[in-house]
Amino acid sequence: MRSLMILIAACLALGLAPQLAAAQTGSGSADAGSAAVGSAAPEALKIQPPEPTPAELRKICADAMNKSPGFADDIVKTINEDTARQHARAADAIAKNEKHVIMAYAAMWVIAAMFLIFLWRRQQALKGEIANLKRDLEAAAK
Amino acid sequence: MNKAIPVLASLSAIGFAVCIYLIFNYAPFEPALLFNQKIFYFHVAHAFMLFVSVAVCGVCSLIYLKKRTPKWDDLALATAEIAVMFGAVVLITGMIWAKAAWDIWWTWEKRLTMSLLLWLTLVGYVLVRRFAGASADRLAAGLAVFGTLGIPFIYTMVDRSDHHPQAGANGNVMTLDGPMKLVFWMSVLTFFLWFLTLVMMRVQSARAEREVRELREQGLDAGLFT
Repeated sequence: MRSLMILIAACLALGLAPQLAAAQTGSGSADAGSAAVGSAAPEALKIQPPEPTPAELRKICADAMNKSPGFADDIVKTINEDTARQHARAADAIAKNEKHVIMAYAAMWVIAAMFLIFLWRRQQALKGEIANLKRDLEAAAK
Repeated sequence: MNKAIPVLASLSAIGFAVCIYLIFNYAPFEPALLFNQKIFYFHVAHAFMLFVSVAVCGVCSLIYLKKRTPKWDDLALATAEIAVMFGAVVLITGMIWAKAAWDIWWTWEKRLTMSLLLWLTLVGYVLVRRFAGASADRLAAGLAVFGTLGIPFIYTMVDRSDHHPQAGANGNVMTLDGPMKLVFWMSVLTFFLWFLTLVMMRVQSARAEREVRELREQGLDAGLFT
């Protein structure tokens, strides 16, 4: 289903829209179909036609591709190039993903530094408290 | 100050520098994870040290419950706080790696859930020591023994359906190639030295806290404090 949708999207992007319109209005050629829809259609014919089913769209697209080998090649080339570009971008992002590695290493060092500072401050506070208590006890003993 | 602390701290610092050099210049790219795999060397080494900390804490707590000797309690308290620190690093670096490799920050698979529960148990230990009053040492010791029981589950509880690789003989660590394995065990050794440094520092603090309590009691007896 996904590949079908990609194929249809590629067809539309490459200019199949006039041919599809022609097929829907029953006209033999794309130009004649466009003209009929654009200018002389009576009011009754302006009602939106029902959405074509995926099977119908597939048939239309396949017919168009069979009629014009160049058009089929364009679609395949476009899809291949797009896919290749997407794969290359994804591979590049994973291969050079420095962001998450830097985040992980930074998190480790930050937590370690915080723990060291916490230990050092507590040790200093305890040293001060011990000195005060000893001084008070010596003074009380005199 | 314990003379071993500066020596161990220096060795750890040298080890960190060497490990970072080896991780980024010597260890090859892992074919599937590529650069993200560089997190592995410190993430898994931290997990190993978490297990060591919790195991030492549990054993010391058990001995303390049996003998009531303060030195075992000091060691248990020291390793519990260090385990909280190592656990925080394991969870945070694990989440960052999960985002990079699996595109999710967290998943409730067994190993992650058990690791979080173990870490919360250790946080509970520290809170009990801080706020539970006179019997805090014994309550916390019981909690530490309970927490230690979680280690084998965390190590072995990985299904084939989980994101995490299997542990044991066919696990990720044992199947590393030569240079990766060397760098990994170098990291583990460095973090073990770092663990020893922190334990000695924290035990020193625990002894100082004990001394403060004893001096206060002497002061109360002498009528210094009301």
